[in-house]
Parts: sequence; C-alpha cells; structure tokens
Amino acid sequence: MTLPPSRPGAVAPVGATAPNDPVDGYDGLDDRGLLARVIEGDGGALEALYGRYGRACFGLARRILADEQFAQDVVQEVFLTVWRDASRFDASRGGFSTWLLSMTHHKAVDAVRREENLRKRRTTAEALETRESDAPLVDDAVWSLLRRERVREVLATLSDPQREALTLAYFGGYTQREIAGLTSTPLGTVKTRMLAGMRRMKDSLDGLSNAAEPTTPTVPRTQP
Amino acid sequence: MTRPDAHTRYAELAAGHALNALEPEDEQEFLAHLEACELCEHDVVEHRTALAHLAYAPDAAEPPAALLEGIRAGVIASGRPVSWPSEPEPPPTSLSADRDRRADRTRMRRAGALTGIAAAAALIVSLGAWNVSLQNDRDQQLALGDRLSAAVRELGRAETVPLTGTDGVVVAVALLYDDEMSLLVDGLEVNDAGTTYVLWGKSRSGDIRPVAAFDVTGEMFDLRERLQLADGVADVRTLMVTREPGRLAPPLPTQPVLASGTV
Repeated sequence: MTLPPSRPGAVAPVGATAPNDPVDGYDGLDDRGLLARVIEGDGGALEALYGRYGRACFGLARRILADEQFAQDVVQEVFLTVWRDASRFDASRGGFSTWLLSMTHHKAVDAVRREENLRKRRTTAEALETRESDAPLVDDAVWSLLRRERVREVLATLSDPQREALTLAYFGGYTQREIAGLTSTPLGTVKTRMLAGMRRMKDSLDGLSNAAEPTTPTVPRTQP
Repeated sequence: MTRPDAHTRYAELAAGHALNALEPEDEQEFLAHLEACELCEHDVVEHRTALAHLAYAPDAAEPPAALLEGIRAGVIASGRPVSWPSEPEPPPTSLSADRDRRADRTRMRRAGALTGIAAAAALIVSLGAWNVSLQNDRDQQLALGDRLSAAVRELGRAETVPLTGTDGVVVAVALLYDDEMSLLVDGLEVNDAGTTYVLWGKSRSGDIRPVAAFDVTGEMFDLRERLQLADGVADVRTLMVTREPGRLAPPLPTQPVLASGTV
C-alpha cells in the first residue's frame, strides 16, 4: 500500500521532494508568468490566478446574473477556458486581467440572455447598490477598497444618462436597443451616450493599475 | 485604416462591442470592420481595460469554496496532464461550508452529466473541503486531508465508477485499480450496529459476490482504501450496494439495491 503523501504545508522529510514541485513559488510571478506555467500544465499557477482574480470575476458574474449558482458556473467555465486555451491570450490586446474579466462579462451576459428569468430589471440607481446576497461579504484589502471607491467616484462624474447606459449594458446585460426601449431614448442617442461615457471613464481611470492586489497564494507551497 | 472623419459610427460600435451590447447584426458588421481597422482595435482594447476597472465596482463577496473545487475537478477531468506544486489543498473553510456542500449536491443533481472521473473528482474535492472543515481534531484533519489528497492523485490512474442511487444522485464512487479498489461514500444513511453495507460485484457471467462490507459512521464521507477484490470478481461489470442485516456479508444480496454503477 502506498503511503499517503504529505499534506501541503507539512514539514517534508529531509531530502524528500514532492513530484512536480516547482523550484520557486508563484509570489514573484506576474500574470504572464503564471499564464506561461498554466500553458505548461501547472495547476497551481491556475489556482494562483484564481487567487488574484477569482473574487473579482465572481463579484462581476454575480452582479450580472443575480444568482450565486449561475455565477459559479460562469466563473468556473472562465477559469477552465484559461486552463484549456491559455495560449489564446494576446498581450497586445490588453492585460491578462482585462482579458479574464472581459471573458467573464461575455459569458455572464450570454448566460443572463439565455436565462431570461434571471434578468432582474434594475434601474440605474439599483445597479450599483449593494444587493442582499447569500454570499458572505469579505473584508477588503485597503487597496481593493480604494479601487472600488475610485471606480464609483468616476461613475458618479458621468452624466446620469451616460451612467444609466453604461450600467444597464455592463451590469444588466442589456443591448443598446433594449436600453433604448427601457429608457425611451432613440437608439442613436444611446450609442452616443455609451461612447461618451466610455471615453470619460477611460480618461478618468487612466493610470489606475488593473493588476490584482497582492493576495495570499491559494496554494501553500512545500518548503524545499 | 478607416479615415477618422468617417469613423464615428464605428467608434460607437466599438464601445457597444466592448460592452457586449451590440445587436447581432451590428456585432457582425463591426467584427468584419475590426479585422482591418487598427483604430477600432485600439479603441476596443482601451474600452475593455476601462471596463475591467468597472468590474470591481460591486461589493466584494467571497466566492463559495465549491467554486475552486469545481475548477480543480474540471482541471483533473480535462484530460490535460497537470502538475501541482503539491497536492491541491482543500480551500479555506468557512461558516458556509455546510451550505456549500448542499449546493454541491444540488449542482451534482442538476448537472447529472458528471460521470466517471469528473464525478469522482468533484465528489472527492467537495467532500474533502467539507469534512476537513467540520473536523475538530487537528490530527484527524491532517489524516483526512492526506487520504483525500492520495485519492485525488490516484484518480489519474484509476478507473472511476460512480454509484448512483435510485434518485439518480451519486452516493459513492469506486476507484478501481488492477486488483484493488477504493470506495468513497457519501449520501448513504448511517447504519446501526445491527446492519452493514455490502458492496457487491457482478461479473459478466452474472455471478454476484460480495466485494467488501463497510459501515457509514457519520454524516460524512467514508474512504475505504485499497479493498482487495475477491476472487471471481476480477471481471466485475457492475457494482452494487445493499444494506444487509447483521455484521457479515451474506453470500448473496438479501435487500434492495441502494446504489449501482457499471464498470
């Protein structure tokens, strides 16, 4: 009978080396470094990426879908897509987190459109309000809290119609035509507001890093 | 590149595209345009970068432990060779672990499509997290974690056979090796001292023999490691579980089959 392996984090016997134990850890690796390891089949690197962005992806999917279980399904599919097709990431088209969150948004919007009953008709004012949820709120890192506050400040600087168009599209998963109908606004006006809002938001957020805040790695490493 | 003065329409479409808010016909038109327009490609990148910030606007919520477990199970089930720095550790425990576990069961019921290694992997990792979170004794935690980790690792070389109850829910997973078997049990009632669960193997020719007797001792999974397969069931094709009176396995089942699976 095979002896069970050591539990991660346990003190390994002198000279013992866990199979496939990386020489170094993940702390010093940026997203691209982790992604390179994912391409090589390193499951720990995928978990390290999850540790950095899983919370943001889940928060976004949950907001769009208004359903914990569907949000889980979407985020799981996102990370498994990274696992299967990490080489699809093209650094010339933005950072990894942008790619990841964009994919999360895309899949969540697809899901909410498939599951029409999930779609909660929310007003703009409701879109960014705290919703009651079964998921426990977490104590934010200061950095994360500051980022959220900054993003909300920027949103607040948009005109009401611009903010309405953006939030209904981004968090509500509505198309431009649906937004036009919901807000009794000509379609062309919705498109113009959306572009203006995007540009203003981009200008205001310039310089704010999209990198994840430092987090505790999800995968403890065995001491060499 | 399209001339800027003729570009306003596409600039608007670029914003809508980044927001996944275009109508299908607009999306199709824009994608065709995007292939040849560096300006729009640049716009889309900038829009998506800004929107990635917007993703942080909602209040942060802790993802359920089941999410990471599901990702791990998917990775294992993907068939891609995978290495871990060390075996996957059960995710951090939380007060919602019990609820997560119930959600896991709901998920497995709903999915229904999880079979074989995926089902086994999902079951193992989800149960691992749940049990470790409920155990108080540290030594027990470590031992349980080790056994689960060993089971997860061995999935790669074991044949997995989900055993499904009459309601369609997987209640156990058998891991078959050459002449040994491990059995993970979850979802069977605790048996009293006057009964015992028996795992039966049915061969291709129809012979039925007991493979192992086991107890379910609490509302937690049980991992029966490396059961020696009895002679005569090496060509087992079906596995079945019954709950029999007494403490010994009878020669043949006397009670209804509670769960079964095909090898």
